Amino acid sequence: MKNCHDIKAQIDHFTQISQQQRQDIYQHMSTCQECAEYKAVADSTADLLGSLNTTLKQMPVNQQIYQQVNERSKRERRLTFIAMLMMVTSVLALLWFYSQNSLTLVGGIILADWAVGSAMVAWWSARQATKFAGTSNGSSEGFLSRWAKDLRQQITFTKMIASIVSLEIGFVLFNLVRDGFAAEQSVVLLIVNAVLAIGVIYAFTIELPALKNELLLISEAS
Amino acid sequence: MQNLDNPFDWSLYLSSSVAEKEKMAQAMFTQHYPLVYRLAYSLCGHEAEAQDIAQDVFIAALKGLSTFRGEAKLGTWLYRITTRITGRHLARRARYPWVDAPIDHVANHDRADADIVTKELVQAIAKLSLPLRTVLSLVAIEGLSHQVAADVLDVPVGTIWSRLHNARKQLAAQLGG
Repeated sequence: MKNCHDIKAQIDHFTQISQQQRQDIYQHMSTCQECAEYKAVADSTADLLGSLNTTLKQMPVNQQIYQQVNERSKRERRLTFIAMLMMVTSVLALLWFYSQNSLTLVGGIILADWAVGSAMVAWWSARQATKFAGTSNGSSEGFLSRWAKDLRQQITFTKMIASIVSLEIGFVLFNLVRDGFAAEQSVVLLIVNAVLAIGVIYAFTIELPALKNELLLISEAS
Repeated sequence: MQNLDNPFDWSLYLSSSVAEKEKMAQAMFTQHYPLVYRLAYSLCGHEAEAQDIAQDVFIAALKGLSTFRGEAKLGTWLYRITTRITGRHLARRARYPWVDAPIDHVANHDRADADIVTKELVQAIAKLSLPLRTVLSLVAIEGLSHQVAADVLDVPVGTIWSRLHNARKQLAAQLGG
């Protein structure tokens, strides 16, 4: 005697099963109200969903897209490599200037920002695949739970980085005002600050709401 | 029933030369692109957006092939990437409808009027929650078995048929069935 799981699995592929299996389903349904309702609901949409399957399979698929995908993929790998190279160069430059006792506040801030920014780009790009496709790795969590957990981590991380950068902007502006905007340095620092401020505004107005929206989307009551 | 058996030999991929890796990646693309595209389309409901999603999926997959480790079947892995990337697209589209606005009127200009029914159905599916929509797409449209869909979403088989049942009920209610 088959259980309800087996019967429901067969109901979902009713057109592909044998006559005997169909008779088994009818026999089971005569004593199981739940499976009978399952089949009735499945039948009510079967034709429409079947026609959608047929339509989708007839859609033309442009195999040339592989070339575009391959090119984009190579571009992104190059970007990751360049970002890592920039990070290493910035850190080495920081250390070199420091060892020569010639590291200024402006130079230090710019090199540090450059190193952290490059590291973030490289890390973000490199983790894309595992972020999107992490397999269970022995975890008892479901795919959607891991997805939600990952989004919560991204939200926390984005808030943290944006807050740290905001503090840095505040610190730099405070020093600029205090020192009366001393010529060259102030222009460079204001430009760096403007770039960072755009990043912070983007994080709070675009990225964070989008991440929260994605979390809401997968958390919707099922 | 759709078969997601894994013809992709991960250990062979790792030990292959760059040219051989490229060939294997292309073979993966040729075999799985239609599946990925169809899932993306049934989840997002727009051809142009589905193409963008499918491209993003394979870019992520090409990057991640070396970390794939063959723990899951290749098809299962690609379906997971597709679901996540579609979720990201949908979240951004819902909040910023003017960003990446679907341009189906361009892609569809030569489609027969019969497709209106398909469009209505796709729109109705798009009103379901993403967890319900994903199960409906995987099982009722793509034809995966309950077990394979459960593997893709890492949930018990019982969750698959309960979500499927709810999805169909909501869909039937929307379509007046």
